[in-house]
Amino acid sequence: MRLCVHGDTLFAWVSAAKLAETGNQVLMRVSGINNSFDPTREPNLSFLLDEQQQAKRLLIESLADEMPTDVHLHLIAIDLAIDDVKVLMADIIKQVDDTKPLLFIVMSALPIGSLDQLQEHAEQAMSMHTHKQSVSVVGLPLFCREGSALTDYSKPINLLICGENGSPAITQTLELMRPFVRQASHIMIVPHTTGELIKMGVNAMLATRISFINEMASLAEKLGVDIELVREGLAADPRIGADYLHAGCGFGGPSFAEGLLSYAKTLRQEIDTSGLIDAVLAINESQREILFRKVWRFFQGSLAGKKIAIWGAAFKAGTASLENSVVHPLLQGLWAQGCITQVFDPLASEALYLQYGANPLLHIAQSAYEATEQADALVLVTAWDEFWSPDFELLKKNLKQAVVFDGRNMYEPDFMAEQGFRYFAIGRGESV
Amino acid sequence: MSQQIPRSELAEWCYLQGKAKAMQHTHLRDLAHDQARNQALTFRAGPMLLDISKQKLDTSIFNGLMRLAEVVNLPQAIQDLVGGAVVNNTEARPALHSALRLPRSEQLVLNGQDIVPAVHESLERMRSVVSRIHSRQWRGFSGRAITDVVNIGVGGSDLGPFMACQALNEFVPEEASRLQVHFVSSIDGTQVSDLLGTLRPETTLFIISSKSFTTIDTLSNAHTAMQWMLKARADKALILAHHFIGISTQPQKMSAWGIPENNQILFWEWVGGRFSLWSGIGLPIALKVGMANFEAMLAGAHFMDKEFSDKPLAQNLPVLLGLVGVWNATFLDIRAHSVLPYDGRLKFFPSYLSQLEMESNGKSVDKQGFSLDYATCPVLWGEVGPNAQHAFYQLLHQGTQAVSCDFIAPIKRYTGQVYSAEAQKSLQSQHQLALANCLAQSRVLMLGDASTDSDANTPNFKRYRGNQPSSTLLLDELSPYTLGALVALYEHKVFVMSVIWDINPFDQWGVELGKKIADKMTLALAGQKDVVFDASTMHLLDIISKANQEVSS
Repeated sequence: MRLCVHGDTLFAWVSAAKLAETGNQVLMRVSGINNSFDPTREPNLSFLLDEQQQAKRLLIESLADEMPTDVHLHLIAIDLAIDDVKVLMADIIKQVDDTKPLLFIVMSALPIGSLDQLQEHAEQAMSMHTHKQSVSVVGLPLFCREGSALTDYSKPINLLICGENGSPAITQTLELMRPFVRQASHIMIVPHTTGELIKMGVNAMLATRISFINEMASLAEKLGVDIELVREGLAADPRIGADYLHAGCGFGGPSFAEGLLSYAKTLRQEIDTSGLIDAVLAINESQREILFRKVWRFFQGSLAGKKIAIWGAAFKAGTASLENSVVHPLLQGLWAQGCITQVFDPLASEALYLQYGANPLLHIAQSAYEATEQADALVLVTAWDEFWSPDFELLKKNLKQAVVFDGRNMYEPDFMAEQGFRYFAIGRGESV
Repeated sequence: MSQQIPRSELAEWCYLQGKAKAMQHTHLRDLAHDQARNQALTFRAGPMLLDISKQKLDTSIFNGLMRLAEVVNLPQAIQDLVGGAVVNNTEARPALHSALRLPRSEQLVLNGQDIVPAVHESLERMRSVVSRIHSRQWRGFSGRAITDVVNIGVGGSDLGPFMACQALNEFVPEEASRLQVHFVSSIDGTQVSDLLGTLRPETTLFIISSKSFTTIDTLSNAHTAMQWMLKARADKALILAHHFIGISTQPQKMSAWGIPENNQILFWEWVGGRFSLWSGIGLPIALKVGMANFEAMLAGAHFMDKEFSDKPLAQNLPVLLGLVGVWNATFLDIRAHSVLPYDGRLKFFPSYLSQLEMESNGKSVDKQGFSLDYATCPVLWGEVGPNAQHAFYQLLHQGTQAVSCDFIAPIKRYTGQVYSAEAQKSLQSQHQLALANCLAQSRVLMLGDASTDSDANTPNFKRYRGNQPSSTLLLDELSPYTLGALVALYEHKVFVMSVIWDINPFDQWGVELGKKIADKMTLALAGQKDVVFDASTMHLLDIISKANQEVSS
């Protein structure tokens, strides 16, 4: 098939790469602005993109380039508000110069109700056009996780297709996704709004589980209980399960919180309440500063001039992205108190430099141990593999005081105590 | 000021007395339809329009008032005020609230030193505090960001900031939208006890505002706040460092209370308490509406300062408002004055003014210490006009008291996006209703029955005497800038009246004695036996002490 991918979000890149890989002719139109995703951030993605470009199945152009006139399948995976998506659609419709049906597959994360609005808008735009062929909008919300997006795309847990079951548009979408359909654990074809609600619901449920365990962690800490044991007990119950049940410093990542805010807004508009999700968001906001608060309390609010080592900045291991990472509230909090921060991240150093390079209180270290030199404490932000078993002796030697704040619960409190560390984690370790 | 002729013996004074006598026989309705007079008695200054044509005065009186102002050297007095002369003679200091509004580029030398840099240094310290709190980087003892600020202060450390915060509620910037600002003033603890039940110690910051830092009302509330904080975290140094800011002219006293130097904002002896909202005392305003809006208020006030110091008397809004005030209170013997904003945002403007005017000019000796033989400041009160229509307007229309009024209203309101377009439209029409009522009431007060079609058969209980004078003050709209100008207008109006009356508006000796006696009374209530008061007081003390004994036994 010939298709055009609009946008340069993670979903856009992954779709373009995977659909070209499976034999389609893909034209990708990237904006280069507006939260563009850097494909080098995702394992193997750059390689696949290069490969597909060399095979001439993938062509990358800019949104500013001329709109193709002979493509009838458009993937909208752009990070824009709905009104801008409408403008884009109208531009595409304007360019079409024959009578083949037009299909828009929308992957962008938009508020509930957007797909119906876009369908209506597309029909309206088409009715003003001389050719007046049929036009359809199909939603294809992806559940790809950054770090494993290519695999998630190939083997979807739930391939959720939003449109009118049995319509030619759905048939065409299924045809496009055929290589992945057979590997999908579950396939659903549902009306637009149903699909949107499922996508929102998945995010909201996962977020709720995280805030739930984080609230329990605060209580566990107060009661001197190890939250990891509590978590294990909860996870053993098959009705609950183990996923998204790790206490930590809150959820982040691109568009996760944003999607939740949009969901909360829809709740308020439609049923005049957003109690649960507001609570989930409020707990999360507080949790995102928990590392700062622990440091603050340990030093009794006297942080000016303290040197703080930070391991990890990416919002999760395996990515170079700082988007919505808890490192931001931590750094801003520490800087506001006049702390010097020495940060090491195996992948996100450059992003850190681009965003905060000018700040004299930021020192970007070349190695984990360099970050800890002469530091008053170490704060662990991202669970990179290399942090699991560090050289504790060297660590102790480097630090002015053997104090570790662990935002990812990577170490054993008893072991750390034996090694002579003051160890503070989330819902375990010493309480401060 | 030495060996001067008492005011009431000045020829210009006597002239006005004669005019006033004649005016007693004139009804306002006889002046109401003269368009040239209306034109001549309507004035504009920047975003503000003042109509004094509903006052009982004509050209000769207007000119007489101007002559009186000239002969008592009002122009010089104005220059003395803004130039930093010792205008507060009983406390031997200047009253330089206008200096707090000077732009950084200006200079004002006081005792050989330019005070403008110090003023802006203090503003910078405010800005730094505001920025730390708004960016959620001012942390409480637990490391959580401050979400609630409680201003503890009374009188000038409360009324001005409180009034301005209420007036400018819609100007809260995004970064301050999650910050709540509260006010605690009363010595009995009502507000503080209500408030402490709803706040979390770890996210609450107290501002202790007191010019002298000895005010018992404020310090007792602060003590309660401290006890409440210490119960949450029994580390006084930590609590002081992160939960208390002091604003005062007395750094040693703040330090003695425990406020760390970093948390102290200073102002100066030459700022009167009731004129202090422009200084560090205005911190709650800046916290509520942001530093930029606070500075817009300062700019609005500075605009009025320039009007006051530069404009000829006959076009000078504060002078006009002040002379009208003197004409009503002293010459027409109108002993009550009501301030009636037709805008709910100005709800606390009248109570703010009641301090500004009555504490300043509620005096009965002149600057030489001699008793006055004429009436000074009227009793001043007020309320949001449309609400007051359902409360005390009955007295204005049909009572036996002569009352002068100030009607205040913005012309435009609800121009920004509020809620839905429908709600906005409805709100705009509500504002039109408010304006209609404003104009209707001042018209009826002026004309009485003549404003309607009553005739000889109308029973007396339905009759309106009218003849109650009023001024109307229209603002283009209410904004931080126009509010600043409005407040400065009244500050200077008060000064103008004090100059005509030859009194010192900047002291308040009348509030001192009560404080002293209260100290003795506190001892008596605590059980001290060797005190003797009057019969009534002794009896009341006895009743209270017996009741207390019953409770404790």
